[in-house]
This record gives sequence, structure tokens and C-alpha cells, in this order.
Amino acid sequence: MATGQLLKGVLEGCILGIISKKETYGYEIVEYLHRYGFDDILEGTVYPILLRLEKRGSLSSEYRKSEIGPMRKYVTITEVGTKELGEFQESWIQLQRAVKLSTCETIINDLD
Amino acid sequence: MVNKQYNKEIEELTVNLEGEYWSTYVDIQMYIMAANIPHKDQIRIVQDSALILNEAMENGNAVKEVLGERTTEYCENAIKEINQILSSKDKLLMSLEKLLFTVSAIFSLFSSLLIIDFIFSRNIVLQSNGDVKIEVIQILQLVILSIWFLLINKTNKKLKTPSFIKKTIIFIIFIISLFIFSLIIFSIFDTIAPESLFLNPYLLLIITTISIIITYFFSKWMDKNGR
Repeated sequence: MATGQLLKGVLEGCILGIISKKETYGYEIVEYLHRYGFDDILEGTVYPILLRLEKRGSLSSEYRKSEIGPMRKYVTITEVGTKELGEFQESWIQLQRAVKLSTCETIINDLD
Repeated sequence: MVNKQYNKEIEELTVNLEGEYWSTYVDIQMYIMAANIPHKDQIRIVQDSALILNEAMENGNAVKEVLGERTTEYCENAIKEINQILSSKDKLLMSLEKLLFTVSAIFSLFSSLLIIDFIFSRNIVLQSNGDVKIEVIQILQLVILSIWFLLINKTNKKLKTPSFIKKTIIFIIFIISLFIFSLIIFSIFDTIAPESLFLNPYLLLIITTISIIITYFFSKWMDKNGR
């Protein structure tokens, strides 16, 4: 799995993507991330990102009791967040293409 | 009212925490409340951390599996996020808040000392019986100490049971430092009668201020080291 700075930037977009699908909470976001292949991600890593997104206005949150009992902080995406997610998706597609072209051996050989 | 509501909420969130979950919560609370970020953000982080720990306990996940190897790193990351977003206006307000706190602490001490000076310079309350005077002064000193004790615990009181041991240690250190500095001052001015030294409000102010400074830096050091 990707690590360090690259992961840090990508994770923010992925979290926004998960929240855009439905209203959710920290623990569930981590579960989704694990399912999608981000194996080493902890809730302690996700929380500061959620904090940043919330302070920036990309998310809104609400404390309330869940159906099964415990109190949870539910987060939903805002208009700002939706716009940011769109920008992230565009940047990611460009980055993906650039990385693919730079690292693909046959294309590099063609250039020669 | 807001604090009462908050206390109730935080009590609900932390009432079931046990063992490592509870001790981690206390560590986080201490670290965050000592951090240089706005109070509303401190509350938000502490509250969210309590939720995370609750969820972890219910799901049977160890603290390390949820927050990582080092709790301080988790706290530092959260603080960093808040600091990156803070506007210059927020930073200015924070500085003013601190300045106001310091000024009010000094003012309350100084006003107490002026009252002492006023009472004894006019013999309003007591006739010139040295022993009784000293007793009363000692009581008044204790009142001053109590005010300070309440002030240093102002933040902690907003949260549930921060750490009784920590509070007690800070208080004991404060009392010890007060006695040590009193002895130093008395040994410097040993030609003067102890009663007149006790009656000098400015000297008392110096002793108390030095003690407060020591206590302040000691409590900061304790917070930084997560004790």
C-alpha cells in the first residue's frame, strides 16, 4: 500500500468519497478503508483528517445516539466538500495517467 | 450552563470507560487541555476522542489498534490540524485570553494583599496582639492559596475527574515552594522581625508570585510528559 506523503494526500480524497456516498462515522469510515485495501489505516489517522475537513467546511457533523445505542459523531458532506471531491477526482485521473506513462516501460522505449 | 451541559455529555461518554481506555482518555484530556489551541477546539477533540475510545472498547479493539503506538502523536496531529487552520484573529484572541487570565490572577492576589494591609494598618479588626495577627494572616494566606488553586484548576473543572493525584501533586509542590521561598526571604532579611515581614504585602506578593511561577512551569512540564 502507498505510504507517507502520497497516502496522506490521497486519503483525504478517499474519505471525502466515502462520506459523499452516505452519512457515516469514524469507525465505519475506517472499516470501508480497510475493505478498499487501505489495510494499515487506524482511526487515529483518520480523525485528524476529519477534523481538518470539518474545520475547512467540507463536512458537517452531528453528535447523536446510534440505533444500537452508543453516541456517535455522524458526518455528512457539504457543498464545499462535494466541489473538493470533484477537484480531487480530476487531479487523481491526471496523476494516474502521468504515473502510468512515466513508469510504463514500453512507452518509455517508444520515446527512444 | 454551557459547561454544565458539556459536563453531562462528557460524563455520559466516559462513564463506561475502563482500564487502558480510561487512562488513555485522561492522558488525551491532559495533553489537549494544555495545548495552545482555542478552548472550543480542545473540547471538540476531547469529546471526539472519548467517542473513539468508547467505540474501541465496545468492539474489543486495543487502544494501540485504534490510535496507534503513541497517544501523544495522535494528540499532536490533531493539534497540528487545528493550528494550520487558525486565523490570525483567532491567534490574537487566544493571546488576549491568556493575558486576561494572567492579569486577573495578579489582580486578585494584589487586591487580597491590599485588603490585608488595610485591615492591619488601621487596627480595625484586631488589637496589637502579635500571635492572633499572625494566625489571621496565615488564614488569609490560605485564602489566597485557595484562590490560586481554583484558578489553576479552572480548565480541569470543565471536564470529568481529570486526575486527583495530579491536582494534589501540584498543590503540594505549590505549598512546598511557598515555604522554601519564605525561608529564603526570611534568611535574607533576618534582622527584621518576622511579624513585620508577614505584614508586608509586597514581600508576600513576591513570595507568592515566585511560588506561582514555579507551580506553573512544573504543571506545564507534567502535562508535556503526560504524567
